[in-house]
Amino acid sequence: MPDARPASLMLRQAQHEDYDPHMSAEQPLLQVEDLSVGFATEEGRITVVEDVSFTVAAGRTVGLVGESGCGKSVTAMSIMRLQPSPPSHIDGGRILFEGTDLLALPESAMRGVRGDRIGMIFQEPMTSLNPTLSIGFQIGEVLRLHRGMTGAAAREKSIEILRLVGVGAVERRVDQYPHQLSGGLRQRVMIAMALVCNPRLLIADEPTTALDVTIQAQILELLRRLQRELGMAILLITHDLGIVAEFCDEVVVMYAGRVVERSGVRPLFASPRHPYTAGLLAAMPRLTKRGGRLVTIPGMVPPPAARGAGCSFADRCPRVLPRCRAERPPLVPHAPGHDAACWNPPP
Amino acid sequence: MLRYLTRRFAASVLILLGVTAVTFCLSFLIPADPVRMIAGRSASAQTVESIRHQLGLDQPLPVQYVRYVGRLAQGDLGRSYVQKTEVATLIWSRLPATLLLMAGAIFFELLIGLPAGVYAAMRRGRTADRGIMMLSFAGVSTPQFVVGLLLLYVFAYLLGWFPLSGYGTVWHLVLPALTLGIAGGGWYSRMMRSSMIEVLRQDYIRTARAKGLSERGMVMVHGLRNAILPVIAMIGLDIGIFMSGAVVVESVFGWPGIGQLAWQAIQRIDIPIIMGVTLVAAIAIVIGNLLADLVTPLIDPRIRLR
Repeated sequence: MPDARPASLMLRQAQHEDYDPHMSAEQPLLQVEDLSVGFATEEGRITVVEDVSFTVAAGRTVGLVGESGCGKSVTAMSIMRLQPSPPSHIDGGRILFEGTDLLALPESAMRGVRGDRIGMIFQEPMTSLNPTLSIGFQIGEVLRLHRGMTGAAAREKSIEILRLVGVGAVERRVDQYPHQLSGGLRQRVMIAMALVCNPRLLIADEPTTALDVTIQAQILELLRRLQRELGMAILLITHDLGIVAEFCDEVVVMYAGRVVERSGVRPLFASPRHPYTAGLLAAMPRLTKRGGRLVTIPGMVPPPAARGAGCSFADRCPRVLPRCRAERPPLVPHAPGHDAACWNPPP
Repeated sequence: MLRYLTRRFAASVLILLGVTAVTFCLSFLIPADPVRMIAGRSASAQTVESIRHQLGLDQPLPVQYVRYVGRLAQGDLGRSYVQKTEVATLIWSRLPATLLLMAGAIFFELLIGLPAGVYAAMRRGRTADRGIMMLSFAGVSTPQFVVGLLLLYVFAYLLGWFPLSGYGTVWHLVLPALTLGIAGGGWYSRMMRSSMIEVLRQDYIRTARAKGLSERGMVMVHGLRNAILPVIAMIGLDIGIFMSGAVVVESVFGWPGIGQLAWQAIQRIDIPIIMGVTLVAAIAIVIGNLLADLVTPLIDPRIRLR
């Protein structure tokens, strides 16, 4: 996994408090249970997300990690019920948010959750804002919708949230249009829009991938500060393990539509229990080994149609056993709070 | 803004000059002799030549063109060969009826086309979408005189809701405008549909959904603003197209518009009228486009007039 940032940033994981699986004995904020999502294609139905389960406790940050196509974005969009249907269809599972199954809600009630209780930001800040409407209108729209605010009150609150996300010259910016703003500023506006109703959960789908490295760090720092001040939980979808190490409390690693490993950040980075995670970690470039070759995981992610009965990673796995191809390993605890789906985990 | 308008005006003058040149050449390329048409079959060669001289048609073409443009610069469109009346007066007398029909036609086009297109885009691939697209195809491809006569038969003859023909009240306007609106509405619905489908794919629509907007709110607030832009350009063109008259509809409904004037002039090779009508239509197209270009930046702030 390519990562351009200095290795010193990776060390910041040490500053995180230790992961404690018993911390949230009460009901978690978000509980995804056995979520399966399929797509109808011309060749028939394919399953892109299969039996995915994880939880996000109130106020915590969970990283959902994997290569492109592993189903992490589909999972995130399914939580918001924003997956276009058709062609996609949720084939099973539950998504409990504050104790309510979002999948069972009528669409009108779900609209009340989106943008109010759950905010979402996306990878493409350049295109995620409507080019024909002012920043102030687009933020105010959320308040008009969920808070019944009008005119001056919505504008006041919009200005306030823009200030909170660190936009300068707010009085002028609020009347500007997206094309007058840089990518970093647009992502700040997106964050302001997602947080203006003070949601309990923020889903951030690759929020920094499209930004310059320096801006990436600023946006992540901003999210961290806002989380401290507003107390929301964050589900961070990323392919970047460096960001996970810096930013997350817990990690869910997905491969080919399934969760292969699930753990606190430190145990995962210290001793990965799935060969795929171990491969990802080994593939992170480090500045300590100068001139060395970049490590890669050989092979490709199998397409959904080619996923057989066994472990989807078997063909790329250095630790593969005959059993791996015959029987799919279940996701089971390998240490307290550290689950992995592997018959032959790395030592 | 003033500089923009000045430049647009200068460009428009050039365009209009080009239009007059092309029309002028075409009028004289047709293998019929306007003088023969005026003089009649039995006229002597001498009479024909004297009329030709009188009208200046014996001069070389470039000389005739320069004279024409010179008179044009003074606001003189010339006189009709046949009716001996000022072309400007003839066109001027037809203008109110033409403008009225234009307004009515565009009104119905939008009234039919926009909702149909938006709804089809929202129901893309489903029965409603297919039904609307089939109707729009029918609207576009049915000849106007068929639609016009059908409307006349049902709403004027059978039901008696509207007058059969003529010009004067708003009731006279409804059926001819609706006839034009049905064909145009078919085009607009197709354009609106494809434009809206394109917009609904955009990332900011996903953002709008993530904010909790309803499907309808999202389409109305975020979709329409962006999807309407090509439609506005098309309205600009329509202004020009309707200005040159709607010949078929005008004859079916006895509507005294520019189309009938142009049609009669073409039959009699009355070149000054043909030239005048063409010029007025060209001016209308230029103005329509300018209006569309002026409205567009009000909707999409990324577009700047330069």
